[in-house]
Amino acid sequence: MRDVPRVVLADGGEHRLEVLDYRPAGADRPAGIRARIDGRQLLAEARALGEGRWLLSVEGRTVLVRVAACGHDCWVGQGGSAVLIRPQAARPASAPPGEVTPSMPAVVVKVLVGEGQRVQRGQALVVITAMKMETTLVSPRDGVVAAVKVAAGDKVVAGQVLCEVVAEEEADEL
Amino acid sequence: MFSRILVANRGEIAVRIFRTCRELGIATVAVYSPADRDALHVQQADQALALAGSAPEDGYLDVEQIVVAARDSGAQAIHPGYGFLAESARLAGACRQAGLVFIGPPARVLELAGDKLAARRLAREAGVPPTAGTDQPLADLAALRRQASRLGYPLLVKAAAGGGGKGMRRVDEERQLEQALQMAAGEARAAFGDERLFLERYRQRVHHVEVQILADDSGRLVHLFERECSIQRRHQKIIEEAPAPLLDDDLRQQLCSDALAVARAAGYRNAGTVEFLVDEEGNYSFMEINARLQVEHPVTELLTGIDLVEQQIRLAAGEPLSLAQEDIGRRGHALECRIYAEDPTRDFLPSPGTISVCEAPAGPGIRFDSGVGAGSVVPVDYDPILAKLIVHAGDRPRAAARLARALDETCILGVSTPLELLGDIVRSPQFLDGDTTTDFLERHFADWRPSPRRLQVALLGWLAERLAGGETPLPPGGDAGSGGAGDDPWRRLRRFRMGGRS
Repeated sequence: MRDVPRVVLADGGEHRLEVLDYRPAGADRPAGIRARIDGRQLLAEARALGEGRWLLSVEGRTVLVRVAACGHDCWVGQGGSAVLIRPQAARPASAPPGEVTPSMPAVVVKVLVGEGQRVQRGQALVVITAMKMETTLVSPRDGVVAAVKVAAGDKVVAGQVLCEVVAEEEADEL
Repeated sequence: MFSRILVANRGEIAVRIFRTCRELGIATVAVYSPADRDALHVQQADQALALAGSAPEDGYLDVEQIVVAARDSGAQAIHPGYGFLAESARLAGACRQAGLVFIGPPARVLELAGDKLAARRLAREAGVPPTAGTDQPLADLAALRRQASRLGYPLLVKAAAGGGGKGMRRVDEERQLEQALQMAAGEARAAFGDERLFLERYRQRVHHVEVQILADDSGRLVHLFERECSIQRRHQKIIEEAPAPLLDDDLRQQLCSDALAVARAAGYRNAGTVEFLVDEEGNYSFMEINARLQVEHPVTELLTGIDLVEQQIRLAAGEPLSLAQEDIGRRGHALECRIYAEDPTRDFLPSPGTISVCEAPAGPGIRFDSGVGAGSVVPVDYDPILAKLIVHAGDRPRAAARLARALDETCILGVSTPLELLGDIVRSPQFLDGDTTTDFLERHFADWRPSPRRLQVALLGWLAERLAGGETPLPPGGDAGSGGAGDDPWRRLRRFRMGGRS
């Protein structure tokens, strides 16, 4: 049996969760959850409506919530908003500094550097385009380009390593 | 009248055009790129033809393929929608040669409107001054620099052939000018094959107001009043409305008759839009002519009760205008917001993916023009517009309340959308006051964040799903001391009414 993750990424930040109590739903009552979210204790009753739909009662307010898994991550929608919840444990360790990856599927427009080239933090490395908008990926650190793994025209996915920048000392070892 | 129309577009606009066709008893033909094989517009047409192309955009931009598809399908006319080939004089010309009708203005009007410098000169000659700027393309950097300091900063570098924010750069001080010119020229060359640039004064507190017009083959013209489209991000509109809150009847009358003067001077045909910038004092200047159906056309449709796509089709078929100016009335207030696959917390970065849930709002005065449904893939290759939510009500405050309510009923999961931001905008006092200048977002929502309260509820819903699925909660960490034995949380919970409003 898997454990509920205790740290998630959502809305661009990290959030800590603790389930303090859980009472499964019974024949005549909804499930109950007492949890601490970012240090704040909250109580919820949750009635399952099927297909990821929940009627939640939180602090006296009732909200219809829809939960839709998306791989390890999960979208949760309610009244005109949606949030992507990404369990930290389910993700690979955060990208080591020096790897340059797009945050969305994209097409490579231009690679601006070559392997072995010395670069500075913030220097433009790769230009990608997604949905008619160009984005420039920059070097996360000062160092040397150790690897360029894509070329113009390549389709890439979110999280794919496009190039790597290592510290100069490491480059010497290569 | 046509018996079959091909729509050379995708997404919500293709679906929207099919709807009118069906109401008119006209058979519909879709075209699609390999990436769009399972797209909604393909399912909504009577017939669908595949387009070839190595890049996903190739097909929708390939005049020859589209003309061949129209002929193969037996369509008599092509509706280009907006974007892609909507303002392509080449497509209009190719249609004519192939004995097909292009549903839009003729090639000569498209060429004129597509050249922003020519359109500026035309407006000036028609007695409608264009925005402060240059009327001639400027060849060398020295000349541009001189013109720029004459105009003053901040200014906009624009492509003569531009559109949709492409080839456009804002320049706040002289030292940025050279780089902006290079980037704009590069973008313009890539997007339009035309790197001519011009300069326009950038004005901060202005409203973007545009007038919808219709013209038949005899040159008879009517206007369908104005739309205000000031709320923009990255020079792209996201909220539009009609009527414009700041216009009084005199100013509205002037603006509409000036729009007609420009359209008349252009020899305009079919549906089009004349765009203006209007300042707080009611001074206005001509910006450009958009020779196509606009994304935001539904606000005019709800305001006037006139189906603009039907008008386009009838006019293209050679019917005379059936509307006299005095027959065209305004009723109440219409608001539209665009729902893009983009993340407003990350500078509106596009957010491609697969839509898992797509629930449309309903109820009085609601229109939802969508190009996606549950299961739709939002590819990385196209403009990320998913849907438009349009509402109509008796007046502006009620329309805003209706839009906020409808946004709350909308649920799209699987890609990021700005639903929550849009809801916060239409509820904001600044929006309700009509403080809708083009820098609205920068002034009032630059630091916008999603509500932490909603996040908490979302996390509780997520926990409910996981716990019900059999996952075990880890024992509380060392600091979880509160809520001890004497406190029965469930007893307190039972006081909450399920299903009721708080």
